[in-house]
Amino acid sequence: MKLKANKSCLEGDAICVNGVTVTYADVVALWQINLDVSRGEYIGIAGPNASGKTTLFKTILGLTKPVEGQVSIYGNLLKNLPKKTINKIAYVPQAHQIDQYFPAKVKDVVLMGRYGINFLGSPLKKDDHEKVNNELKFVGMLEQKDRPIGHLSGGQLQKVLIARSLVREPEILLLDEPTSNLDFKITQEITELITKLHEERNLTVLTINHNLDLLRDSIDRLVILNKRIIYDGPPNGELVDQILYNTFF
Amino acid sequence: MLNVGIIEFFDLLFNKAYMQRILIAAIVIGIVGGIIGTFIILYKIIFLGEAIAHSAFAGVALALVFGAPPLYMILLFTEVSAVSVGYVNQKKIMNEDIILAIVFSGMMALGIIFVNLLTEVSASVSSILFGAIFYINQEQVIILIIASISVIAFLIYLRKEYFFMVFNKEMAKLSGIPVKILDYIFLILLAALIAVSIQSIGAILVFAIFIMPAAAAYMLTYNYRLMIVLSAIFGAASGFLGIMVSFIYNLPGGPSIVMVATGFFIVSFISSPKRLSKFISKLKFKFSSEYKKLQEKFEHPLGIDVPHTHLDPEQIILQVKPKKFPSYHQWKGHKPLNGTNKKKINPSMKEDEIES
Repeated sequence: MKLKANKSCLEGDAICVNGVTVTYADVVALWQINLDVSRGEYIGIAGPNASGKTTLFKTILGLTKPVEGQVSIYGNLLKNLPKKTINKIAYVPQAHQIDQYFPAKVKDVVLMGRYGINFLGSPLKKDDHEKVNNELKFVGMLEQKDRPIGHLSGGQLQKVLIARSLVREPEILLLDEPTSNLDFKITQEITELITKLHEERNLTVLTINHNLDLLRDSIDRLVILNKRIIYDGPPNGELVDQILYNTFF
Repeated sequence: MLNVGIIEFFDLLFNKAYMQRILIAAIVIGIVGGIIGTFIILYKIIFLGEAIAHSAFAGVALALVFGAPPLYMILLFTEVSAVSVGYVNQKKIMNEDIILAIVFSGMMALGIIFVNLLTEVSASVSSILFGAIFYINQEQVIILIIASISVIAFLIYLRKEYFFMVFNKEMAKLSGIPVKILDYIFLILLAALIAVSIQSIGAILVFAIFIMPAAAAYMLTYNYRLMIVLSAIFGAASGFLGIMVSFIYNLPGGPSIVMVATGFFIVSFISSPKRLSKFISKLKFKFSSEYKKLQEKFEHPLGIDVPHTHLDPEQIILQVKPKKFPSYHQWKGHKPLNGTNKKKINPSMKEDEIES
């Protein structure tokens, strides 16, 4: 089913968020959000805590249902999304604590990215394992592929989660605070990795990130969110600084 | 109960059909319990299984009141418990622990009430609580084997999907895996398995045979496929050795199997390469040349030369001491918060004028 285009959404948009409102009981998480993301765009999303950034991602991914409005991916409404389109979206969640004894190695976790693509229970192919090796190499973790997943540092785990999302061969990549709780060097490494992904593979990238100083030079657009969209435009300039200051302080 | 030596035990095993039935039941429960236990441990739903097992007690007690076949009543009670707990969990209606505690204690209480309704307490009640593997009949063994093969085939076929779900359910759902349906199927299979195993091992201990072999395997490997295999081997070995021990030392069957499984866990915990590798690497580091170098560096009489400055203590006090804060704000354009005082304050005004 094709979405009736509103004035902000174009036919070829990768993601179109149209008048979305999300509430948790009587608490408003997002209010009347309109956001269009073109193919190959790199968007940074900033906002204070509890401003609805993760909720926006979960709404785009169909994990949270809006009380009002709708989301479409490549012109298809979320509820009618074909399997082919679902496979084009990859999500990198915030890295969570993993039990140090969990029986999985790095390569097993990356391989999980291939599980939902084929029919349930269908065996993996040689090609799937090759993809895992390629993506681990891309994120610089190939040498660690036999290490237990619970033994990795925060930065290494984040790279593995990025590799897991990449083995799906996505066109749209959503990253939820990929550099939270990481030191400056690793933050810089991961930010550069995401930029490289966007440039080399022409991925549509949406990233929630608080390290705007590092991000600003690479993103095409900055969206400042605080329950509603406060700003949506170029990432640099005095106006943006002023809006950021007013939003955060 | 028999009290025999090892040779007589094997003699019975090869010659007596009842002995073969008992051993087949014990080994099958061990294998299937070990396999499903792997997912239970990784899912972290141990208490859920315990609650389902205890709901079987209410089922069997009700069956005795009405004179109905126990298996159907056990199935009914365990399935209803499993699906209702699954529903509450998926809808996030309330905390998982609270609903489990309600099912656990509520079903036990219901079972005791049903037992009280009986005019005479039969041996069936105690056999359901503590198990009666030595009295297992051919029909029960066949049902057990069919149920076990179905569960094993299903779990092995969808092992990748379930493994992804136990690692991160949300990500599995996003990848297109039907998480909700697979969750319910898992709970239904678990309840069915508990129902068919309970007559052999007993409601109190049945869950131990699902957990112990998997817990032992969990301590030995980082490979989940190997964990499934090891868990099944430990389960089968527990079943066989447990029955052997119970025959030789004249002990009850179910508890003997569980005790052997506990032994496997203790041995694997002590010899766990997961735990030991950390200890060994710490030891290796302590006796390495790198550690000695660090020791020499830090134990140098002059210590490490960290850049620092020497300040006069008096100077420090002067730096830290706060300046006197002005008694009145005299900033340009400042308006007092009190609405009644609308007098504008100029920087040139004196303190007396401001107060007035």
